[in-house]
Amino acid sequence: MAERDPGGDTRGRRGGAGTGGAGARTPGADVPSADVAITELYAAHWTGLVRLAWLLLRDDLAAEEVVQDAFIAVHRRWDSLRSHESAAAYLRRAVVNGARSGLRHRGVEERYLTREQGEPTAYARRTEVSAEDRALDAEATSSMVTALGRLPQRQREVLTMRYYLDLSEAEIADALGISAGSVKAHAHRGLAALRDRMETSS
Amino acid sequence: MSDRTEFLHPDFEPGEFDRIERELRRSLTQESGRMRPTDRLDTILHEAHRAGPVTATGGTGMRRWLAPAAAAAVVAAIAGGVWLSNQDPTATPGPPAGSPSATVPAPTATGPSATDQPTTAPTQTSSPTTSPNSGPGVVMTFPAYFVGPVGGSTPTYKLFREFIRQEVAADPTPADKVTVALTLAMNAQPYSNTDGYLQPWSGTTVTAATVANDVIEVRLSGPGAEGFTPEVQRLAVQQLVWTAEAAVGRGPLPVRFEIEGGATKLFGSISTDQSFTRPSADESWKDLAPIWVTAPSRDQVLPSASPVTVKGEASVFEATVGWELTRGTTSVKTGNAMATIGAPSRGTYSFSLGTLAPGTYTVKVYEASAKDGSIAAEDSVTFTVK
Repeated sequence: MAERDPGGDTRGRRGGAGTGGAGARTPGADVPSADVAITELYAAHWTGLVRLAWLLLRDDLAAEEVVQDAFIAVHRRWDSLRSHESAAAYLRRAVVNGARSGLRHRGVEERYLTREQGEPTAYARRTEVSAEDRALDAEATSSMVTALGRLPQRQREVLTMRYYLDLSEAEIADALGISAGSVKAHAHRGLAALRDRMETSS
Repeated sequence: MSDRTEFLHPDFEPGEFDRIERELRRSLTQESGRMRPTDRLDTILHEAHRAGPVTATGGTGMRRWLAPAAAAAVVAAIAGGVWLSNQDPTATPGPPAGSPSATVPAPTATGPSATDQPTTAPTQTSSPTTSPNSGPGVVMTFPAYFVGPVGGSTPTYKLFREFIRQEVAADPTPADKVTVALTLAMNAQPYSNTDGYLQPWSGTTVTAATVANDVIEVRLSGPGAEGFTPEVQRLAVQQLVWTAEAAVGRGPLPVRFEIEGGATKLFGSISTDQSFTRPSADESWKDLAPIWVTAPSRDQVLPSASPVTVKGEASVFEATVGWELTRGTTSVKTGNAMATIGAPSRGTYSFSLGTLAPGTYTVKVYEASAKDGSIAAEDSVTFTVK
């Protein structure tokens, strides 16, 4: 009983790694399989991207679906993407585009804005009233988020990606398919509009 | 902050937007915290494999043609929550841990606890704000492992497996399944009188579970009950490991434990600073009881018109098991059967009892000691013929 069968160990480990068949398709030995890559990307970006999509879409399920589709697309293209950087960039483009078409097709933007205007403290579903929410911050957040929601789409996207995800100008430009100069301009106009609205409202 | 001045138009003073930037950053962080994404990694991997890779030429990969079958399987799994493999925890010997939905002992067979157990809403911990799965729940069958006596004269304990049906919220995540399965496995009380299963986790609950690609993490409310031998303590941990791995269904994933309140030793003696897994197939005898009866299942009702087949797993000397069928206190039949492979490997066995007159029977399958012919290990199941 003291002997360990090394074959048994290997079998066990391979079974547990969860590296599916997609890995076998990848030629380079140092490129992780699609399953492994997606799992790592998921750990790093899932929550942030879903919340980004949610900030843009204001719809829980739609936000998750947009980001899920983006991850599936990356998995299916992993053989050509082959690096986390290019995959992350692909994810951001796919999420922004997905959120836009979601807005176009469902008109959720209008519904959200209408709701926010009529009742400033009403949030989308699955929001919980916690102790922090009742703090003074909540009011400021609410009006800031409402003001952000009234900005033109591009400005809203740029500001959300910049100040929520902390993306660089170049990353935002890539995700939105616009120039770095345009990113600068949208950011500036957006911030100016927010400042004006916050000053007016307070 | 200088790293954000890149955003400022040259016409404006640096710092002009400092306040609004700070405010916006704080607001977005606070606002986004309201949205709690649910776990969709499994769905993503499933869907991606179903669709297959996109090839360099832009077309979809060769797996495309497989999609309908796979899709049907996924739909079946989601809609039904169970795959009926009908009373045949099939020919797969060895690692007996299928995914929870893989096997249903029989439509009529429920663990004694399946219905009368308080539904302790086990899913509430793993995803508190899970998406509006407002649809009806599904009934899934979970393999749950218990520490029980293997029989024989010396008190030796190993793991036994029970299939327990439990209603869960629709479309449970792997973490949900782990939580439910562990909650079932930690409640041995329904079996303790009939089967002598120990209750090392009495008073302990699962407070959270997460499933990543390469690890299952389980948070327990306490370190476990007191008064068990080191070997039983080890088995009690392995009981949870086998159950959690089976619930996830992705092979021997390492399992890590954390104890609420900062304790770092399960049962006060087993450090949580390590990961646990089930032993490889050829060493499963370390954990699993030498003999399991897997069919008929507990309290199953069988038609008198058909012969009754007994199946199970065994890791026994020279692959030989004996069996005895009793009705009440009367011995009805006895015999021997061969497992597919002998100890230390774990094989499967199967034998027929023929057609039986209506009544309630117990079949005992045992290993006779090579030394003196006494019973070294046994398992038995009671069923009814109508």
